[in-house]
Amino acid sequence: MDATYWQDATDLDLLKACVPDNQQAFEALYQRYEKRVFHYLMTVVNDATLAEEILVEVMLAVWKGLTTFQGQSKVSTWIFGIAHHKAVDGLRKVTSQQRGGIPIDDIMESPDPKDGPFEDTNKNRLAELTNRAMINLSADHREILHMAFYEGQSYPEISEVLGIPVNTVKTRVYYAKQQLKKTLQHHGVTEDIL
Amino acid sequence: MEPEESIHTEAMLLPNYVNRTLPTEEEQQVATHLKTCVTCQQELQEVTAMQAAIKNSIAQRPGPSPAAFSTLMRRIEQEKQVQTQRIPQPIAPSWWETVESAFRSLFEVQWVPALASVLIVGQTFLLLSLMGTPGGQHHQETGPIIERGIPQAPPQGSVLKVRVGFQAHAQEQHIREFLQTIQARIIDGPSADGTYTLAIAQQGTMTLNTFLAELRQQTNLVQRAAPLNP
Repeated sequence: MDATYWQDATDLDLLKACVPDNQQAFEALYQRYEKRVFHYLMTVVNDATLAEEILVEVMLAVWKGLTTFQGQSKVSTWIFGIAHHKAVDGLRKVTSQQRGGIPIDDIMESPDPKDGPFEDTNKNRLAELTNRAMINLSADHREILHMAFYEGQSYPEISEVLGIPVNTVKTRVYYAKQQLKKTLQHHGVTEDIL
Repeated sequence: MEPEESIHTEAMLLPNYVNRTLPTEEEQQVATHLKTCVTCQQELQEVTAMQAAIKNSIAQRPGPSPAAFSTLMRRIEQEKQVQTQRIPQPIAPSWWETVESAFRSLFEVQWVPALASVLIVGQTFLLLSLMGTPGGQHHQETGPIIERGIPQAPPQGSVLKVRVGFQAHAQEQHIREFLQTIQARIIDGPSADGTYTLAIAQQGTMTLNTFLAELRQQTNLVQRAAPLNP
């Protein structure tokens, strides 16, 4: 039984299958979340090396918490909640140690203009500019835009992950979006492209 | 703190409207509002475009290296070993333990708890009847039981433990300095909910509540503080 066996299982079923000590099921759970959590962590900490270190910590905490997960929230909300706390902790350490890492900007796979039609190139250029603009935002704003716009999470879910009221989530998403728009315009992106 | 300005309630809901995560009632409210509000129509276009741009931007990033999974599995193995070491290994009983367990089994009959309960009830009645005597009343007048020799201060060397969540913006160095000042130390954490377990040696008149109050005063560092097992 390999990790693909769990492909159609729900998150909750997969989580239950991990107990007691089912390595294949846990590997499937890891594969399901590694990229999502890693991308989220990269958005927040803006350092690929640190993001990978935190990813390991997050999934270790998930493994430790398998037997205590109550099922009161969605599995994804639970995992992203852990990721949020670990990212905050990681950021705190970065701020105090000012470690040097690899910023996201340096590991982005830059689009080759020859790769696709003009429209795709424009889309890729906008994606690249968006990435640069996101880096200039505060960690709070980057994080909430990632959750609302990339993960497509609802406000109550974000509220649970971040531990803040739903109304604060709404206003923070709004102002983060305004800030991103301002930064994109500073990078030369006009309103008609947006 | 976010700046205040006049914004339509519906505009704030647009990101969830676009990704279809609004409850039906709010979704209808936004749809109705959009029919007549040009500002929110523009806002909707921006949100949609920005969502696509962010999705494309993040989708271009590579995933974690395969080494991350190897590291994780190594850490899990280490964790399993630690857990195994914590579980005491069963040892073959000595002849004395065998004899002792035989004697112990004599006291494991069902009437023993019943007898113990009767004795406790009997002792309680005896105590109450003694307190009802003039001598007992005298004791009540002179003060509470705590003044009759039971020390008010907790035993020396007791440790208070609390769960603490630090402010997201608080720097590690400032937290460490503060903990050093109050002579507390982190003994566990962060847990899945981002809290740490703090321990402090109980001194003088310090109680759990005064310790918690001291922590909660540090609003720039401490987000929440609660007893370990409320």
